[in-house]
Amino acid sequence: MKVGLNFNQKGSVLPAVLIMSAVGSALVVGSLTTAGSHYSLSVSRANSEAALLVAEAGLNDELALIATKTSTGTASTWVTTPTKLSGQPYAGRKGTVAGTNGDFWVYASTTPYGTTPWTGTGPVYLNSTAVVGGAVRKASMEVKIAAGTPTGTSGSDFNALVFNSATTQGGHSEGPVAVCGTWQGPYEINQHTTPGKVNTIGNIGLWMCGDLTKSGNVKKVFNGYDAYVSGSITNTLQMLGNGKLYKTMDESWIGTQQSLWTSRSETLETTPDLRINVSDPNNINVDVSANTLNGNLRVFWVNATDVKALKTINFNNMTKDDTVVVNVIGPTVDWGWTVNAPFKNRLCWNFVCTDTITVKNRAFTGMMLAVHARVSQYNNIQGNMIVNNWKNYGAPELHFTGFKFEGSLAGGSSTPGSNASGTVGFAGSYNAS
Amino acid sequence: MNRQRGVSLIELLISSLIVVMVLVVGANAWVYGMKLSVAQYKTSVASQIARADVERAKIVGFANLPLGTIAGDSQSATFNGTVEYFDKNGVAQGNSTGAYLSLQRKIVDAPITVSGTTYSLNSFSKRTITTTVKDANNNTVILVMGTVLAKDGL
Repeated sequence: MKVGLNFNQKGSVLPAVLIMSAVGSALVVGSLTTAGSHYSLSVSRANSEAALLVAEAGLNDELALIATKTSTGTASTWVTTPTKLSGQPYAGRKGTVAGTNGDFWVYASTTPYGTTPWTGTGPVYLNSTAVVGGAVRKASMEVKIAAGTPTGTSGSDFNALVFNSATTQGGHSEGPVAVCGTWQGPYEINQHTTPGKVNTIGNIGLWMCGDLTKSGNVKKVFNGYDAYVSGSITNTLQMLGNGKLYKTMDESWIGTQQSLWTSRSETLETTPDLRINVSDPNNINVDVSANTLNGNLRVFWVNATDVKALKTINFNNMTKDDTVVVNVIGPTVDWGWTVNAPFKNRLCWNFVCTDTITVKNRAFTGMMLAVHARVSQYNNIQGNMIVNNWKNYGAPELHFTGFKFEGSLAGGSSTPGSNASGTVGFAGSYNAS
Repeated sequence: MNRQRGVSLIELLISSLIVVMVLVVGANAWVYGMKLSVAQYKTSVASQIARADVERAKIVGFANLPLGTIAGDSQSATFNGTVEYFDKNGVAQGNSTGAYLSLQRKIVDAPITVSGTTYSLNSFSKRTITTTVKDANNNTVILVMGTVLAKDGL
């Protein structure tokens, strides 16, 4: 039998072309599919490599976070628990490596990739899962964690902790003041309460790594507390009650505090929180006990624009073991709230991304944690003020008696910074998959 | 007879049209396939040199990587490494002439302890390393890989 096309017959060209086209198309599709598969495989491999690096980043990120906590609270609260939050695909704290694709979720447990929370003693493993473009990689390592020894050093010992310059027209602080930069203008320091401590140095009224400059009256340090000033002083400082003036000091201490409080502020901002309902035109009522996301660390959030309205906020059902944190989100704050709480010394307002804060319409109550902010103070601030720049107008006061922060930002029960930083590091066991 | 000749002409025209269409589609598919192959190869090589660069940074370690320039707000510091060039095989070459890929490492340190014009790292500092690989011909980013280093960490 003769097989094939007889091109002598009329009408055979079209079938021949169709057959050749079909064969050609099949070859093209096949080639494209192969090329596409190879490309997808290449991208998958790249994503897989990237995911392992991101998973390892999660482990180191958790190490750095633990290092910020080992100076306070109980050990079990220093690590992230193996809790899977609502809407998240994996257990633990979600994070990213800035500038790259993908996310990691990291937590601590008693065994590699285990789900038993660490109780503060025994072996502890950090476990990280990373996803980059669909590629999933895991890594786990054993770490050693040790608490710091008590030193009494605490940035929260200071009524005002100002990382950069200050300008004051007058007024006074009940507690000690620490400033790193130039401080211009009159002020009366440490009129009431206990002195500040830096490392092993006590009896501090003023800790000043920078120049004191005069505008109007001099600055005064009261009640026999000492002043440490590394910069120029000429005719700007008066020591009352036989307090001593020292020119030698640890100038890096405030910088260390700045790093520590910045890290704490950022951690609090990423801690699971609940939004405060601000719809009531008059009083805002917050049921503290209803927020069970982080044990006794009760974290809430509001928009910066919310705190402008002249309202009263009541923190109800707050116990002596609770620490209330409110993340205020926004670049500009015009403070307008009166605060009622049974334990005002365990209340922290965290302005993690705020550039400017004006305290004018109402007094501010609670710790003001605003590491990037320039604060314009016209009214009293009742509690710790931890800020980047400080300027006051008139003679507003800083109140510390009964307002000195005693809460635990790590969820424990002690004051932040009451111990020196502990140690945390890789303990020798690592595996990845 | 004439009718059959007419049919042949139509058949020839349709066949020609099909041939032209197949050739056009085929040529475009071939070009696309070539681009895919080139992209696959570039991604492969880029992935290898990026991973190798991050591993080199990890070997140098948290404490020994170079410090950067302090940001205006004193909260962080950034180090931008020099641009390195690679040929088609992923082998480093001394300059950009004829280079196939370029690579640049960036290190961002935060938080930091600033003292005057310098800074130091502390136990809670993080050093975020990102390595960006670009096509040396058109400067488009092929991929970015990165990780975080911590004191006494991995």
